[in-house]
Amino acid sequence: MLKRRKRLPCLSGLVLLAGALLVAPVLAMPKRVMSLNLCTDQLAMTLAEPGQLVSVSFLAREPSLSMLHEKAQGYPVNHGLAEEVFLENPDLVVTGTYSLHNTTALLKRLGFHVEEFSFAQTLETIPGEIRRMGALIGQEKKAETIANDFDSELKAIAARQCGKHPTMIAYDQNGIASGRGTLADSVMQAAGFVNLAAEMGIVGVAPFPLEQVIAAQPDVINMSTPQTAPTLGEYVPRHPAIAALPQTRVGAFVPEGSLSCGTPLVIKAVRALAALRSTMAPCPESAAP
Amino acid sequence: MRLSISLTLLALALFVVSLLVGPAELSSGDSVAGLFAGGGEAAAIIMREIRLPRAILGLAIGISLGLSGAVLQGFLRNPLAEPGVIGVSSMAALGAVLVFYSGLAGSSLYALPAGALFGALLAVLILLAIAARQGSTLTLILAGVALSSLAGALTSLVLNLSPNPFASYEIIFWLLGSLKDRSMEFVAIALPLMAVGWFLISLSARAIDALSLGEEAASSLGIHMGRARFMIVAGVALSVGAATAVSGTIGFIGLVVPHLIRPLTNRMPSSLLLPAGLGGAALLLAADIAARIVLPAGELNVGVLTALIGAPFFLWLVVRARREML
Amino acid sequence: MNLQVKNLSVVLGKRQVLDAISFDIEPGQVIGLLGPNGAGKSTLMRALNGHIAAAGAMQLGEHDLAAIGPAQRARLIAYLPQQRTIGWRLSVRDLVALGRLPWRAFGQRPNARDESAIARAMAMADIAPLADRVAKELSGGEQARVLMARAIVQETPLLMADEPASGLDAAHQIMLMQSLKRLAAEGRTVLVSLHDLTLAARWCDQVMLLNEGKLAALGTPETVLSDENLAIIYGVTAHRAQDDQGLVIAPVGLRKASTGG
Repeated sequence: MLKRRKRLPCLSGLVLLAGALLVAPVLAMPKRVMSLNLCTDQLAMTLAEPGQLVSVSFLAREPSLSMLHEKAQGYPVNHGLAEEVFLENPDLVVTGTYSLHNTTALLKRLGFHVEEFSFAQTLETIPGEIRRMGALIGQEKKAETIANDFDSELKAIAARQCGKHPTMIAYDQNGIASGRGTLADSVMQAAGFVNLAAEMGIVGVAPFPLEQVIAAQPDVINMSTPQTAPTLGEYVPRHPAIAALPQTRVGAFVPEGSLSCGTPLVIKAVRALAALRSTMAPCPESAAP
Repeated sequence: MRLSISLTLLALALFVVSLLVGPAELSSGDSVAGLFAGGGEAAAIIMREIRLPRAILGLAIGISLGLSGAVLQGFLRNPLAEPGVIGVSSMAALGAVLVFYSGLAGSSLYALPAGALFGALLAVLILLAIAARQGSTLTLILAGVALSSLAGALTSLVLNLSPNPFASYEIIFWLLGSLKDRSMEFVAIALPLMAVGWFLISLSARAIDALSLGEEAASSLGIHMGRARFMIVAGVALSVGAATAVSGTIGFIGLVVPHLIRPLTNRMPSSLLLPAGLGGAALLLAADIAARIVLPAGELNVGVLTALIGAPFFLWLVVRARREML
Repeated sequence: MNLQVKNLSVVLGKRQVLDAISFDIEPGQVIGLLGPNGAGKSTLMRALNGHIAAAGAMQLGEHDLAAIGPAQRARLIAYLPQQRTIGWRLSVRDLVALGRLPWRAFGQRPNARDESAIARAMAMADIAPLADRVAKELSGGEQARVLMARAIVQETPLLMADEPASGLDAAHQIMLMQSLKRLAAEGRTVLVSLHDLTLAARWCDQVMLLNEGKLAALGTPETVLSDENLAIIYGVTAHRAQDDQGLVIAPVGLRKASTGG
């Protein structure tokens, strides 16, 4: 068993470089890629060519979390276990930085080529992640096109905005709100909304008291699409107190699963919210593009 | 009687305090105006839709737990009997979880009390079968420990198996209950059932008094044991089941309160019922207020607080009970 | 009220504990229920009070004891079980007052009638000075008297007590029997199981001798507690004497095996 104990920090470029020096032919175009994380699943399924991706995580088939859940039906699924990786023996393993920490360390010790993606993401980091995944699996061209399209659509959406910025809170299961530094926050901003949770000091995804949501009286409360399997937490964003707010639009305004990962598909969420915004604060005729 | 009046005043005072405490930091003037004035103002919504149901549930669930603890102790002549300790609450939680998260009843909230009542009923019947006849303190507690461990494990299992990935985050709620963000819908599904439970329990007052002298003596004092058993089983299942269905497992209220209050009564089990209910309401309201203010950011599950108070108390009782056996 | 029993039989598990017991007792008497351990004394009382299923007929006055509910039975029969259970730290007075439950409607407070019955029963059991003590903290004999008072206070036509004299000192044994006599004099039937033959011979109007589930004899102490019965059923010999107040029987030795048959 060859032991490549790379103790390189998370500087992906260096990791890539070191990997390339050691096993250059594999990196040029890994034939068998395995993804252990919901978000790397999305990127890998978008970019990989048929047959290249050997399995995705089981969450990739979950409609509430995965935009590509239908596509994921076409792939075998894994549960992020080191044993599964060992049996599959892929050329490249892609996973999240935080999610399967022990598994990742173990796989690296066993000599697998593991690439980690950080998911403290915003819209700005997405094109970079697309390009990085493209480079890792040898699909640079495809990645470049997707990343460029993503950038330009964001710019176009920003250009169409004018006038006041309506306020919004993204409120979810169990009274969790998306604050500063979250993907949802950057999506709200890109679509021309003010994220009240971020304004009120929430950082990251954190509990936000229902009373404060009511007191803030946002113009929009966005919640996730209700699931078929019930949870009690779902009753919090559906609390009668929220329904009683007279001026607030409440609903699931972004496509299901579109905010769970920083992938090119997040653009669908931005589009949906931008459309909502244009009905709430339409631009005067002259300013319209 | 004086005791009941003081406890009523205490519970009402805590009810009002409960209405005044919350992260929205309304002034007491705004709170009162919000509660009674009309309109869709934020203060009114917060008071009526968020704080009022929470305070009502704190009061009603406290009464249910205090009353159930008192009646179970009287019925089993066992000072350690309590819905949480002997596993009735855990089984109620398991029942609620099974029916609700399986989606058998759609996502209807009525699934919660339906499942919880069934779970609580099953637990009480099992415990009576195991422990009532023998009357040994130890047997009952051991059976309860087994039952609550099993129910807790199965609750976690069911939530982990739910097709909804968020369900497993709710394990903590079911094991260490909370009154956070419960709406009037929850009051509507739970309060009527609890009230029926209280009524049935109050009907068993004579029976638990007579049972101080043992089952045969009680029966020779005119107590219809079958009927008394039914009223207590159904009353506890209804009140603890409905309470657990909306709040998760909140332990030790029914243990701590009867013990604190018993010395203030003539120690006749029936004279403990009303004060224990009122005291339970006061303790749960107080714990729920504390749960909202002890941590500057966010709130604690009230079940954590009651366990922090109750578990050491329970240990102390076990040590004492060993010394004087009841 | 007459206590009439016909062919009363009880089977517990596979054992025939009572076998076709029949008797008819006039009211106003203290009936001593005697017999060695396991003869069926407690079972007879428990069957009469409806605690165990029994075949045969049981009648108290015009009441069929098998057909009435617990509430009605509690106004006809007071029963002191052998097992002395006292839960909680109740005061003596509160405990005795429990005996008035059958006469009180739900939620009703004790009335003057209840109060006088309680005072009388406590005096009869000689526990008035203990009224405010915690019953659980009393001595065994004192507890026995408290529980006896609880049964007396029920003021029923039939009073059954299972070994009320055990644990009592000599003076209180005599006081107990005197109280039972007084209750019988009021027209009640008092059925009391005893192990003390001296006590039974001295104080009971009639004694009922059970042996292995069968009624061996019923009648006055003089006839039932004959040397022969004592020898066959109890396996003892007794010294007997007569004084101006009645019979004195004192068991003095074991019957020798050779004298049997």
